[in-house]
Amino acid sequence: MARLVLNAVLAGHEGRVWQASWDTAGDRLATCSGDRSARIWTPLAPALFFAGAQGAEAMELDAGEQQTSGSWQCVETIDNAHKRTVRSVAFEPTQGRALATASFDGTTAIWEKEPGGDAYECMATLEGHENEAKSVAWSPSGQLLATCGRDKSVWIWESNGEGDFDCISVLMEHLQDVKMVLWHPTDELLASFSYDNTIRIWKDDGDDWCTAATLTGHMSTVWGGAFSPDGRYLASVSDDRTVRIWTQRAAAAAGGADAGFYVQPTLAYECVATVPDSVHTRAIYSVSWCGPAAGAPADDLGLLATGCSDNAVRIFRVAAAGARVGVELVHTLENAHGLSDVNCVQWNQAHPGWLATCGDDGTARIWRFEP
Amino acid sequence: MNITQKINDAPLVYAVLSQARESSASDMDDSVHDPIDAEEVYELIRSINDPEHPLTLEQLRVTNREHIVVDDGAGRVLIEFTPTIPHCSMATLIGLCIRVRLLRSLPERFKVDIRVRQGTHQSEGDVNKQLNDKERVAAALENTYLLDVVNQCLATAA
Repeated sequence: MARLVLNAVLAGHEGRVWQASWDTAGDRLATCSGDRSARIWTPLAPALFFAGAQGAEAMELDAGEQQTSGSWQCVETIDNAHKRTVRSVAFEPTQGRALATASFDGTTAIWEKEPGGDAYECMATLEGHENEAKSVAWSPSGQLLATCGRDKSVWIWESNGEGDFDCISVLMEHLQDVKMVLWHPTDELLASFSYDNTIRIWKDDGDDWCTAATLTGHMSTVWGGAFSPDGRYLASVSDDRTVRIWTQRAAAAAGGADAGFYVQPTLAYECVATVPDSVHTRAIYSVSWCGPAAGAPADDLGLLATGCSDNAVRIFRVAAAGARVGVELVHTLENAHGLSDVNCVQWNQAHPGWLATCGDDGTARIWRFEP
Repeated sequence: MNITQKINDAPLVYAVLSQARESSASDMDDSVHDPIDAEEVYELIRSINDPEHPLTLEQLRVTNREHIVVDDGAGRVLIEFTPTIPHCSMATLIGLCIRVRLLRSLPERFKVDIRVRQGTHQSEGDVNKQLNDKERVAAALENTYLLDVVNQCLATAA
């Protein structure tokens, strides 16, 4: 029987925890909260923790568990920059020295800590959003940053090499709040998820960033998504209680070689699987995709984890099935954060099988998935 | 609030039915779990002030006992409220007041869904979506001006 085993509880935030993000090495977790702070957590001995060799028995799930446990500690608290909820936090992917935080105060702050340094310093404050900023994401190269907000816009920023960022594009094509932005793992594509029920894929056409595709199908707010680690698929989750899997189809050829007119670069996405709205009983806030193990059969696409407002974390197995994709529920963990919403789920990409979750109970939790 | 033209200048005011609640022996017994029911939720929201008039939501029949559904075991509450006129622009504010009242009074385990009663508002889809978007509500409650307005409406509901 597949199950999720609780291995650590990270307590300390004084309000709901909105997002949890791993660094690239998978040894640190950053969280951000309604208490206006961001925190960084790490186990005392990461190598030992992720090898499962803690010495202590894996803990039984205790809904009331509120103490930090499992040898993790909070090594950093950043609480001096934002005047309102910190909604999103992300480690810079290539060096892991910088951290970005996006806040309901409309700003995104970039923090850095010198090796051997005392604390994180604010290197830059990116302003521009007219109201709450909701998500921040670093491109895999670490050169670009994307933010989005309730003002319906997606902003793309470029690093100027000195710790600061220049805004290179403001994309105003969503009709309502943009809830989340996410970079493709390999191609230079950006996905945005919106209160207008659509997902947009953005591409740099040489001149400027523009919409390459608009994915419609969700019947309500799209809260977020996750690319499969190989970049072939996109999973999205929504207030309509469904999970959808999308993949890129080759765009139809635009006439013959003598078409003679400029064609906007477009991509064609198709929905190849939908988890029906009977599985999750309330809005789904977060999804994360763990790739298949090395040596797995070619049709094994890995695992999805979802975090839901019905307090449960669900794990699905994903498999290719011809032109479509099969999604099978393999485990439901009720009350993962007690009787509180689960706001974010994130697989640890460096240590497969380990999942971080965070919720309205003010804690983040580390789980081991046993298939 | 400083508005010169009220949205609804002449609302219908209804008489308030006071329904005495009979207490039973188990009500006084501390060891018996008292489930939260529609009656209790109604008690919490009936005297919320309307933003425009010195009248309660009960007097304007914006909130009604019959339009509250509570499942104590599952921790779910559904409230439907009826704006006095179909184009009422106060609808979102009224819904927010109801939500804040319950946020401050009900145990945390309750998931509360607030909707405009079907067919009573021309933008009910939009209003419902805003009222049930957790992130939008959280951001709204960090807005001190809006919080002041909400607190004024809730002053009588204590």
